[in-house]
Amino acid sequence: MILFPNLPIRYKLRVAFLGTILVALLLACSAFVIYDMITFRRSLVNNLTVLADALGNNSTAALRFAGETEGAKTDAEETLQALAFKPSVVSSCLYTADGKLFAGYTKDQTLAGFPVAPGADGARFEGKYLTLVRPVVLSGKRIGSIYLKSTQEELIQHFRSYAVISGLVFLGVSLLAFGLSTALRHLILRPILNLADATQRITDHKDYSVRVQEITRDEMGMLAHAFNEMLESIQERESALHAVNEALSESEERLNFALEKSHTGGWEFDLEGRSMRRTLEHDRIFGYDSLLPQWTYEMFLEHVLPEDRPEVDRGFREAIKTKKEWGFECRIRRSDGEVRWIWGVCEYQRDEGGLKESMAGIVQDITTRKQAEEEILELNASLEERVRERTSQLAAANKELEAFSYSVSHDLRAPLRAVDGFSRMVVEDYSERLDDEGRRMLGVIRSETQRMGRLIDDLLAFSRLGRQEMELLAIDMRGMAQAVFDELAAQEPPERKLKLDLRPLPAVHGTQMMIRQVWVNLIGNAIKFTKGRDVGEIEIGTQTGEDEVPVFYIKDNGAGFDMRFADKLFGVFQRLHSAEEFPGTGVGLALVQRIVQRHGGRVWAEAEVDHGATFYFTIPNANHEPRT
Amino acid sequence: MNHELEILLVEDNPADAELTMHALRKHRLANHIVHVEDGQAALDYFFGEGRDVPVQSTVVLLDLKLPKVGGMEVLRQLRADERTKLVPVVVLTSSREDQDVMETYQLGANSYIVKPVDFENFSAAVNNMGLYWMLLSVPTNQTP
Repeated sequence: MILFPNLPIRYKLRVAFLGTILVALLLACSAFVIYDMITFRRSLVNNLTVLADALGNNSTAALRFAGETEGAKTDAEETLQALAFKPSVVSSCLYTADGKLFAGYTKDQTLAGFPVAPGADGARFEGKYLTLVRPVVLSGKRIGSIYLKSTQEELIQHFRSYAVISGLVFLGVSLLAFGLSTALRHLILRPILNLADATQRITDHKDYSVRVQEITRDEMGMLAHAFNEMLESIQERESALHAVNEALSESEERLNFALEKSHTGGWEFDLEGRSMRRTLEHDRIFGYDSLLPQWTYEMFLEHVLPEDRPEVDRGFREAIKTKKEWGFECRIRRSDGEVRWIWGVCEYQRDEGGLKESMAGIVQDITTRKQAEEEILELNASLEERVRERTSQLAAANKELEAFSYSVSHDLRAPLRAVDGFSRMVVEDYSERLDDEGRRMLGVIRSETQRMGRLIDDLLAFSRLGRQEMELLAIDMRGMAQAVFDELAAQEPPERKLKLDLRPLPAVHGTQMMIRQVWVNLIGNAIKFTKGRDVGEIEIGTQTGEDEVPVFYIKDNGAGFDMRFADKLFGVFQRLHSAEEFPGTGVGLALVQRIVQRHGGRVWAEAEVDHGATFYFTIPNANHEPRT
Repeated sequence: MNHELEILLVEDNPADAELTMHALRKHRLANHIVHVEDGQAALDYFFGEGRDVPVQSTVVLLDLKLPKVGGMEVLRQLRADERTKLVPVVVLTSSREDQDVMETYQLGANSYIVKPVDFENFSAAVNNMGLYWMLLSVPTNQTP
């Protein structure tokens, strides 16, 4: 048990200090007094003994003659009276050897008489008095006893002065000790009080920047140092904690902002307590303006439409069992009776101790989205319907076009045939009746009708291309280009000089007949437009274009063309040269473009008037055919 | 060779028919040309009352677009009949790209000629059929 628990430490310290000193002093004084008393008593007895022995010696004669002479008793009494100078001895007497009182002397007559018998030898303290009995010996033979009775006045006197001195010393030492303790108190107490003060300030103001002054290097100093270090680490932790708290509250604020702005409700369902914590938005989604006092899983289920309820309940229980994330969509009936779609996702959670299990999640009103989805579905359905309609319209249009092509090829060509055929008959059968001019004119009629026939053929070929089935096969481009060149070159007059520089070409995937048509038209053009050159030079090769797709090119040293008209190059019936100069229908390059495009490729050209032309095209290897 | 080559030209367009006959006539095949203007007449030529056509020496030049019975139908009926199953039929077309040409091959046409029919075209088609003997026989027959 701690004494004086409420007493300030400085008083305790003083009490301890003074107490220790005074107790020590008291003990010391007591020891001294006791010792002194004992020695003083002993010396008192000794002195009395010496006196008794001296008196005894002086009384031997008287005692020897005791009973024999009257004078002996008087002598003895005289001897005893000599004690008058010794104030402390109040009475004395002599006894004979047989123990009879012989002579006596007393200072105070009021005192009781002498003892009848001397008693045993030795000193005895009896009340206020000290009595002593000594033998009186003569020549080694006991002849009587002497009895002395002395007051202890001397002893008491001695003791009194001792007490006075002790009291003075006690007082002096106490004063000194009090002064010293006051002085020393500072030494010990200051660090402690500093510490206490700092603690008080920290407790009152939560100010961990306070530091204790480290005055000494003793245990107190160590304590102060440790205290400071502790404060330091607390302060660090405090500021770290503060920063974390700040960040936490900021992120929470942001989360809440996001949840609120996205109209997302948050909830956490304690699996043990069966209670649910929610955000305000959560309850709003279910149609409540303010947070309900309580919310349970059963309340949630009641809001879910009966049709959706079993599925939701099953999913939720499954999620708890499998401890997995679970997302759901269902319809609820809000408190105002309106049916809304909600979406939610939640996850099983367990706190670090593994004790608290919960499901936490979010919930959102997705009615608007659902409506939009439904609208989209409807739109899609009607769109598909429209696509079907358009497709069948397109198919009908295609059929019409086919029929048209058929009738063009049959009906349009029939009169042409007649014109050409009959002109020919005239030339063959009636030429002798015609002059040169007539024959020339007929020649013009024939060549023009033949040209028109070619135009119709080309046009039909061009329109047919769109309907032709694609059949992608690997094509040896180099072999095909060589074969086409050989074929076309063979049709040229023998005096024409053509030089082909055919570089290695990669294979492509394409429709054989179509790609061949590309080569026919491009090589044919190159041959045609180099007609004016001494040697028609044609170079065929590849460059690497973007996306690693090879770019085929065919370059000639022919007439070239003006790049200003490059955009007209691939249009149907577009010609950059007169028919007289270079015959043609203006369909060839349109056909090339159409084929290349159907293969997902691109075609373009670069040229300069009189400096040849270069045509480029790509045939990507994947099936890029655009849907038609 | 005593085979008389007979050519049945089934053509409704008078201009085309005249041109064809003119071309063939120039090569002295004209005497053996029978011209009919529709599919029914062509069928009658073979299957008409009391008809007995020398099938082995007859070539049919058959246009496809014909009044009454179409050329395709005529071809089908010729091939369906035991008597005319082997008659050489050359289809006349205004375009080599014509889809119908392929179809006529499936029906058993022997060859085709893109109009106008001139002698070169005709002889090429006949050669195709392995019937060049018909042409060879012509001069002997025509020699007065």
